[in-house]
Amino acid sequence: MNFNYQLRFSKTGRARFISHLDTLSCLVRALRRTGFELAFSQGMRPKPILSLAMPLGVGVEGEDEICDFSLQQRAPLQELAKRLSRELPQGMELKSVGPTFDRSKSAARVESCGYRIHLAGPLEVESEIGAERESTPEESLIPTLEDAIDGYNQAAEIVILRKRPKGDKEVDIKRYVDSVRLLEDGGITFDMEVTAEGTARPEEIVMALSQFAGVQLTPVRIVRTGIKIKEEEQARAPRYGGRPRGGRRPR
Amino acid sequence: MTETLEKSIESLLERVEKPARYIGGEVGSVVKREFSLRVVLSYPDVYEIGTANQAVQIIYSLINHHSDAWAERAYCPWPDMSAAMREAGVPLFALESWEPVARADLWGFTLQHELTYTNILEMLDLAGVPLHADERGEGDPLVFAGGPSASNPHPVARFFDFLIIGDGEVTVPEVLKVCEEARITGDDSNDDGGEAGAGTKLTISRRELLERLSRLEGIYVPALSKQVRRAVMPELDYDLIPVRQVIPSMAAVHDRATVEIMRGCTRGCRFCMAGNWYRPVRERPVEDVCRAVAEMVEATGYEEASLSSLSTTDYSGIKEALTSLAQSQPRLTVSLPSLRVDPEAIRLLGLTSQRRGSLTLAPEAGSQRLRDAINKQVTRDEIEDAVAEAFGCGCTTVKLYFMIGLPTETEDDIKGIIEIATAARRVGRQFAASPGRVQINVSISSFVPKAHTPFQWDGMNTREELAAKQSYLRREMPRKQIKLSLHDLDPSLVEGAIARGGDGTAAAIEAAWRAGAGFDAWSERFVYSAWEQGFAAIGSTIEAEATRSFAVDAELPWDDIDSRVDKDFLLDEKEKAERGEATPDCRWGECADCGVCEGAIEMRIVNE
Repeated sequence: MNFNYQLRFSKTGRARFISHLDTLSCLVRALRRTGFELAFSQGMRPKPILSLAMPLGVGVEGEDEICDFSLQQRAPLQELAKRLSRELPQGMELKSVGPTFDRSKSAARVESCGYRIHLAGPLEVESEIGAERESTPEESLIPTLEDAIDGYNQAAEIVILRKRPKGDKEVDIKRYVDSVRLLEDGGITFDMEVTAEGTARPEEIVMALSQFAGVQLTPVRIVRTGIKIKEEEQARAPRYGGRPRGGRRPR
Repeated sequence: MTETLEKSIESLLERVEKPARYIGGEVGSVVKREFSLRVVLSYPDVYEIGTANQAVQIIYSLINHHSDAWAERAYCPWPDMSAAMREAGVPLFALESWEPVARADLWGFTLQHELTYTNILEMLDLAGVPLHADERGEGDPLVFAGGPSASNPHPVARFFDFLIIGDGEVTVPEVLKVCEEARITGDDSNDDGGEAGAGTKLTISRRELLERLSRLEGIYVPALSKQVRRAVMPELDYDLIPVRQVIPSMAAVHDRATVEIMRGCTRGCRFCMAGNWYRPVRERPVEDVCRAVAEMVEATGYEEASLSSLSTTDYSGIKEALTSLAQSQPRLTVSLPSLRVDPEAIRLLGLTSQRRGSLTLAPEAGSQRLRDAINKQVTRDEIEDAVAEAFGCGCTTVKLYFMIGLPTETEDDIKGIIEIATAARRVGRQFAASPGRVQINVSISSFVPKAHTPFQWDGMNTREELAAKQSYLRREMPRKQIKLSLHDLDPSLVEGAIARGGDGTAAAIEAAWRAGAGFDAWSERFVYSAWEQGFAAIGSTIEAEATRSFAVDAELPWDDIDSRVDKDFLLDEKEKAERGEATPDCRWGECADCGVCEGAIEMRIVNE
């Protein structure tokens, strides 16, 4: 029998440059080093059961990422957390770990994710204010951003052209990101819906804002602040016989 | 200042391919707050190649866990990154601290093969450290190198302040001691000879320090040394196994735990540089091997362990070790590199849990006569039996490695390669579960004579000769179920031109690098014309250098490096090769009197 766990971690600073696949192997190895045995998939080439709710692009930071994994035995949580936190590369930090009784993977139930982006404008905008030493270049962008965000939020649809090797595609990003909010420090934040048909990309939101602003905005730092997972209906539904996957609920 | 460098590096990482190569911070990497010396260790290739190298891991662990000094790492940035660094004025930085490598006290490179040499220049240049040792000043790090290719240090001598000849495990602690004595650190002033200040300062001149280093065994200081003897570690020390090692945060060429089970090889193959250089054989006790594998797997989380040596199945405790590992680590995949062509050895694979589709065997030469001449003591029957065993064990592919251009080679020897490949196919079809799926991959490389081997006097074949042999094979090799791959001649010739070079070769390497050579071991990045320009700069050609033979009584450029193997023994071996006479393996046969065993330095076999 397997015991299912959910791990929440952050991946910030230099660790943002670790790719999705490498993040997976870092987590697998870290878990192996804790001494608790990972459960393996069935089949010709058994693989450790471990998945991430949503891949994070190279260079994007994640403040609250979700990883599902299964162990062969129940692990004392405090001990698991203690050992695991020692085994992650610099910049990847364990936030919490605990059992989960959901029947499906988090990856299948991502509803939306939050982003925070810090932007830089074109050089001219920065240097204008640079002389005063009062506000940072980021703050100097605020008036420009306010207008752009107004434009974005009021638009009914925003169609952008997504470049793909198979042929470019038009996407209405407004479907996924309804509104953008300005932060006090000049950063922006928004929630991005993830649907069965797809989602937007943070860079595309910046692209749209650049169009509204009339100047080229460049993301300096992209942070995914969290991932919202849809609660499982089955888990709450009444159940006859059997136990939820993952064993007994803790008392 | 550091913060600006950090910011600049980060902005470069936003733009380059595989930025995880440059981030450091891996589990197992070491950051020291207080240290006597800052050392940077480098493998002159890209991160994912360099990080799998055991030499760096061993010395890294030795310095960080067994000394007061701090070892960091730096690998060669991929061309996209080095271009971006130059453009932004970012110097080569060490992975652990992101501080410039140029500020280290010592900077060491491992020399694994000649085609990494231009990357050394690239790294020195990126770091802003003068390329030539004689142009470096008091503020520059002492740049050193070690590894198998340091056995002939001359082609790169100009670039290094000193070279480590032989086992670094015995030399590095001595070097650190001498350097520590010559420096004082900020507060911790147990030396009254100099003023205390921030960072470390030399209390003696660079020259004086090099003089002191040159007095150590196994240290070659190009500017000072006359004759240097190879340093040898008499026994493989358990404590020096890099159990706690750096676990790369991105996929490397080998992601596995490697335990060296034996250093040296008794086979005495006359073409083999490592077999002649790393004498005598020193085996690690079986219990040490098993304990090291268990500890390393636990410490790293790797699913695979490799028992490494030059000829793993010669290790006298191999059966015991494999049996015990299969019991204690049922989940672990154990891999055995460098299998001897021997059915017994292949049966051993049954003891590893590894299901393998292919197996590699290296008969090296096509005929018995030539195998005797190169002292590769494998008979035709053994080859066929080994192939039969491999297919019988469920392999579907057997890879066969051969060399062309070996001394004394004739057309018959080349024909022999075709005969062996055909015989392997026949045997494979006979023993494999599905004869139709049998695949024989024949890989042909060109022989490159190396210093300190019995073939050190012989020139390489000319390009024309090698090309003729290759086209003969291409023409005559049957195609059904046999795949022939021929190594490019260009990189082999360049390797040959450097391997037995002298001090003058350094200028050719430098000129080649200036003409755009770099990452020469990567076929898609190898630029032959850059090397042609390089050797033209010293008034020579690649081929003239590679094919040069030396008279047996001539002075060789590397005569000042005493490998502990008698030159007379090598000469004897050369003459025996010419007569087609084999020399028995000294593990079982009588001592061939190579001269290496002396005092504590002797063959150490765990199961007699």
